Amino acid sequence: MDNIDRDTNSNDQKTIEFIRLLSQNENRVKSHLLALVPNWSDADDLYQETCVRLWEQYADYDPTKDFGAWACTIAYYMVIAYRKKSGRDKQRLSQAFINTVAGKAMETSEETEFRNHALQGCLEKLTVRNRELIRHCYSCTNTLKEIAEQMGRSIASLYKALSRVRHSLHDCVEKKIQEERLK
Amino acid sequence: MSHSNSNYEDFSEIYELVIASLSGEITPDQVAKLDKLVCNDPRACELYLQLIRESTSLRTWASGTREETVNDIPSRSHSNRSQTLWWRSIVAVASLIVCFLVGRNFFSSTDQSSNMSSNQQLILETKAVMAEARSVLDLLDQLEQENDTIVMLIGEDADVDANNCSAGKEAS
Repeated sequence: MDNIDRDTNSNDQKTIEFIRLLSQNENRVKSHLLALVPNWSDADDLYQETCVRLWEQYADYDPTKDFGAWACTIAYYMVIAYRKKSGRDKQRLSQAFINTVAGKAMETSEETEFRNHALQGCLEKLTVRNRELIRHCYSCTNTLKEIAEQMGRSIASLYKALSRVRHSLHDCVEKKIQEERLK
Repeated sequence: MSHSNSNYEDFSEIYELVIASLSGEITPDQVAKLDKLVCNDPRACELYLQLIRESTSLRTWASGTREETVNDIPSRSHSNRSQTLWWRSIVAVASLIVCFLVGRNFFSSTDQSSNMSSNQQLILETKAVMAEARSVLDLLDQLEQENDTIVMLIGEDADVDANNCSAGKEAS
């Protein structure tokens, strides 16, 4: 009876630890998948499958190593398997692209956390109209064509507007990073 | 390692390519262009990764604020309206009590005949107050119905938004 209790307790601890590590690295894994498969819908499906695989292979994880890096490696193999399964199509990015991006994405930068923090500050600096545009376009996975129809504007103007706002947000983040370096 | 903004100026088309790709509306030509840009220039690759990470953060932010908008507005609205209705109820009940007291004083009067004209005046006034109280109660009922309708409509809007999102996801 004691043994059963001890096993149950140990399994609970393992589950809690896994959930904690996955939550801490959620954005990193999601970004990694999205970089390799730049499409919200496919990346969402792959994230769910990756989470299941991570749990299945959690026994192999070395707790002294970086969980995020381990999870991103498994995510990479999930993408490779997904590409094999989905076959060839014209919309597909090349294997060279996947390898280049995967290699670069694994180089974790200390700046990533700061960039994220800077982005929150830059969002607050946007005009209400632009902030609402971002909110509308990123709060659900509707295509931009559908969003443009909902907003009663042309798809081309929505692309331009969104591109302009993203450009200004990125410039703002870069500026904040430059300022931080000068400190 | 990051570069200054000027280092990315040559790659401004990456913004539109990333947006099109995430939305699932990228054309084969655009795929080829994105592929070439990212594979051939490390600066383009770095910008691409930064934009993807920013997109993930923006989505997390947008989802969080969206939940706030959908869930909080109906409850705030409902709370304020309930408070208004509460005060209106107090006013209506107070009006009825005043009417009752005035009416009781009038009917308990001992010398009805000598005060006939003034009593008739009082009857008319009491009836007017009663009618006023009734109209306040009617208004109260109407407001309560409107309140329920607004809360229901906001709830339906939230459902429609959620359905649009899931429908869009399925479609894409």
